[in-house]
Amino acid sequence: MRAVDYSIQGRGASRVWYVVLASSLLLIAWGFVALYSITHGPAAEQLGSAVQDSFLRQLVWFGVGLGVVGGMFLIPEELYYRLAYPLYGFTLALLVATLLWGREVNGAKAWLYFGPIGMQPGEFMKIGTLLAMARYLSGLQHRSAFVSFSRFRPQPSRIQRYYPLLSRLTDGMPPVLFVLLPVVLLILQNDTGTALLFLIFIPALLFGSGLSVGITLAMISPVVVAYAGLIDLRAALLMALVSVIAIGVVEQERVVAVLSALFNGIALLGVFALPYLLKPHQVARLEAFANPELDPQGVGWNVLQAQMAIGSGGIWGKGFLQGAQTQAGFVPARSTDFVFAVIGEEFGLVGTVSVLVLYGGLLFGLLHMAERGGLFTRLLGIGVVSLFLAHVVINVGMNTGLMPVIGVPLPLISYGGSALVTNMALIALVARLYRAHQRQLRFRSL
Amino acid sequence: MSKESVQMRRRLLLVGLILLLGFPILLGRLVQIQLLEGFRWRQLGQQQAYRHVDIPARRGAIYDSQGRVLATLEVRYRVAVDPKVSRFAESASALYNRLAQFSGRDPDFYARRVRQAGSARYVLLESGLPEQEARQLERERWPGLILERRLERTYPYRQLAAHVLGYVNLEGNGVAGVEAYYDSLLRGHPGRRLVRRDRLGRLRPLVGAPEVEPHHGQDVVLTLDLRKQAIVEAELANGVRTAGADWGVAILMDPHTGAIRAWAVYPTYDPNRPGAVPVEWLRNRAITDPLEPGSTFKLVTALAALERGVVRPEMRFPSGFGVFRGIVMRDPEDWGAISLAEALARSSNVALAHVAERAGKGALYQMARNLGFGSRTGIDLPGEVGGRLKKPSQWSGTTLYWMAIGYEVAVTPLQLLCAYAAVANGGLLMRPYLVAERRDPNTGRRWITRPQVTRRVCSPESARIMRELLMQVVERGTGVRARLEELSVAGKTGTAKVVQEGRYEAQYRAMFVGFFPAQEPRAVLLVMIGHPRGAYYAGEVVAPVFRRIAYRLGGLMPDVQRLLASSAQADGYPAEARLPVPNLVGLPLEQAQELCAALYLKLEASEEEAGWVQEQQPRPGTLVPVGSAVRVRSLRRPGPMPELVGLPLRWAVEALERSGVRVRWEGWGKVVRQEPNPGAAIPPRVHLIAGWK
Repeated sequence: MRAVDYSIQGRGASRVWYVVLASSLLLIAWGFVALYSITHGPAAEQLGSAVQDSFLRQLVWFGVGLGVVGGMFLIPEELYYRLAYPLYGFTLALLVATLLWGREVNGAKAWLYFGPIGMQPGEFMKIGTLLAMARYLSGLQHRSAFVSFSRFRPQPSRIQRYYPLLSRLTDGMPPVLFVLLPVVLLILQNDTGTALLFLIFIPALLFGSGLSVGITLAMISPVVVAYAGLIDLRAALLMALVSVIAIGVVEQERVVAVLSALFNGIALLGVFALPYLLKPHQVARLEAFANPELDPQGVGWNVLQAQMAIGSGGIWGKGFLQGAQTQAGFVPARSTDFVFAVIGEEFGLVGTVSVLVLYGGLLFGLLHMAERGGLFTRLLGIGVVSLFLAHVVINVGMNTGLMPVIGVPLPLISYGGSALVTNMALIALVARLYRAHQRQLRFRSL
Repeated sequence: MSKESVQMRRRLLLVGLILLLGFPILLGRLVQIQLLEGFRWRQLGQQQAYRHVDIPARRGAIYDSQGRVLATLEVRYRVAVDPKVSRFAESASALYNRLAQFSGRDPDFYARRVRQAGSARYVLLESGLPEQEARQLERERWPGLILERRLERTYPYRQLAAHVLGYVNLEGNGVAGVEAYYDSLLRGHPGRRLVRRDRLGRLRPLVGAPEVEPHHGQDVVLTLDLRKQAIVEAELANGVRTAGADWGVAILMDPHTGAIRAWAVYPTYDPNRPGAVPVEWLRNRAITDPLEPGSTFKLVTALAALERGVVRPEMRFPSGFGVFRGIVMRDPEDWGAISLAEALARSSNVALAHVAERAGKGALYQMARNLGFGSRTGIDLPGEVGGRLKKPSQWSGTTLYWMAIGYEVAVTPLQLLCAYAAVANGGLLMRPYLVAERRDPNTGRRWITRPQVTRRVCSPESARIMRELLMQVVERGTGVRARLEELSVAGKTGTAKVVQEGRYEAQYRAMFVGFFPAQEPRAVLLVMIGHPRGAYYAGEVVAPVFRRIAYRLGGLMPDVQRLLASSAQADGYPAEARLPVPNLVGLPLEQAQELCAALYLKLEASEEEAGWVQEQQPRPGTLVPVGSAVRVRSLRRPGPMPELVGLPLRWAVEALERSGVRVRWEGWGKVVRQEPNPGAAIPPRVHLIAGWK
């Protein structure tokens, strides 16, 4: 018997529902507005009917997503915890199936077709991976053993003292494996954009389950430095220096700072040495790897076009269906990676800021929900928020010319059925568990 | 709440902090590019999204003086092939044969072109294919065939007047003739239209976009009359062929205005396909090739002496043999002492050398210079040369005698013609011209060319005497074969040896320059035939050509027709011949009578009494059989003002004054403007302005 007691929900608690629901729906609505402009604008008659149909297809996927979300609220909450590993296995199997029988679209063998319906298991994999990691990490709290962080240092650090969930570094290995498995599969599928985004789960969830700030930073910084090095060596050097110093200040464990300096140095040296070690065409291939959406000759062109579209939108934009840049097809990948440019051109600063505000609302709402939940919920929440945050920052960054181009879509807005359903499900997951916490919780592990 | 929970919450807040830090950066960037740099981005975007596209201007048409279209634009197709298309090789030879059917070229020509093109995917084979043929080819679906639709310059009358018209290059710009000389006016200025351009470079029209209308090229009306042109060309070709000669030139000009009426160069070409003939044929010999004029230059010698007053027509000079400063001159016969008239009629070198001696170096040079030799005539054609006339300071001791008979001087046929025209019109050197009128189709503005007098070269009296002398040449001299029963002709023959590499060879140029009717010249004509084989004397080779042209042209000139009317019988004309009824309204009855008689029409006046024509039936311009009646209604008082423009001033003034209308006039020659305009009531005083002052 579960007695629903709404009295424990404060005013803020009920408001967070509306914030998350409204911002999610409005972001999806933005996606449809932009997609309509692309597929049914004045220039659309030149496009193939397959492109024009994509609006309808996306609508169908939205329907599917609503169904999934509805279903998720009917399933008992403890099932999410219990079915985390089987689900991970299932989505991983889908990924393997894709590698075997998938269809290649735009160079990436990322599509699995069931009859006429195509989907990207790489998206669904996000749910599986996140659930499995959260399950594993939250399961650690049942261990009673307290073992020191490392054998070099018997005293636990300050943070570890208070929060000893990830008391052994080896405990962090399985979740890393959970991530690396799909990442390898995705890279084999030549879908590096999606694969890179998976890596965000590692620092996010490990940090969420007690990894020190310094180590988290030490994990992230070599990757960022190496990537920045491909674009600008001086900036990369500066970033490496700043991050090593920051780690040295935050982290009491000197080894971490030294190791971080070493890794950063290797990353920098590797990037610096690449042009001398490799043949020119190999360098070009590497640069193409860094910018997977582009052929090496076209580097910068797409960004310039997107920037031009956004910039020319001004404050109020050129109006719905009036964007000269997007309508004339200058903006590349208009429906996916550069959909933000369409909004920027046709709706101006007002449109773009509203999108960012909606994302802000959604992510803070999700954080708020996660905070009210148990460990499992919190880890899920931190994973979803960091995943969305990475998507938004990289996507808007590359649209506005702040960041190099990686094929990263804008969550809920960019065209893509699997991604829409996945993103809706991820939000619903947090919301579902939050609701379970608002009511009486039956299952302690959540 | 446990410590773990507090710690966890802190960490979640840290993530929120990153959010709080990251989003403002993105927001700031958006403000930067959308708000601060928005204008610049917008401009950049417009630069790539909009494109100015030329709206081509229509090239002006060329008409003859009667409104016939000599050059226009028509839809034509370019035939090209893409030899890389599969199945092209199999049908290639069949396609070449098919094209050869249209063009008359050798099929191998196309095969060679394709072979030479190497690996090109576009090989132009033929241009100027008419629409019908192109459609046919298109229906046959040849693999690799490319048909391009273009507006191309076409010349409906083909080779007629080719050397005047010139031709255009593949881009449609004039490279020769009037097409080149008036190229900038014919071409116009293209307009501009703003279009939208997409990423693939496809252009799409922009509704309501600013557009600059093209400024179409001007239409040009030539002074040529194609009927006369056809006669001159046909007769010249005939004459050149009969003489077994290499080439020929014939130019017909109105001596009073300098308007060119016909201009023939043989061999000629088809301006639609100028590439089909040797390059040499494209040259406009009449202005580009100076040559020694021979005996035709004796006019200059005689006129110089007459004008200076040192020689009178009846003065006698020795002939047959003479030695001048060591050079020996001979005539074909010894005629003894002959008058100047006889000397010209027989074309005596010796006598003319004596005349030149009398006139003196300065007078001869001055007259040659005055008549326009040594400088360009200023005709509106490209490539004209001025010839060669040595200054007296450069003369050798014998130049005077050589020049007297047309050697040691190089002139173009056109210069020679203009010199004779000056004698024909009473002593004025006119600037020759080909374009009578230009029309701007955009504004409707017109420019009408006014005849231009270069200078007076001799007194009217000298010119009159000279005309008499030249008449004698045709009456009983070397030009007797140019004589016509019906028409008095004056002119001069000339046969000049050709200089090649500094030596005179056994090759000749035969020419005849003259005008008719001799007393009141309406036309000057030059005929020149180069390198005749067999008979080469101008009197034998060219004079008959001149005569036939003059004879056939005589039938076309209203003035000449009037003169002919006395000898020709109206009913002798074939019944089916039809003539346009002239405009008689406004004319005095007696003049209407005269005009009708000249045109073989009967005038039926409503009242017997003299007066002014008020109405006429049938209307002007109606075609009626020869001998039909024209009914007119006349009144005593002057009717509406008649059309006087184009009539000789003397004629118009005389007619008006005879009818009691007072006239004020300016200038002389042909009436070019009248006050009031035709159709208006006749005022007490009419004002006429003639061609020149």
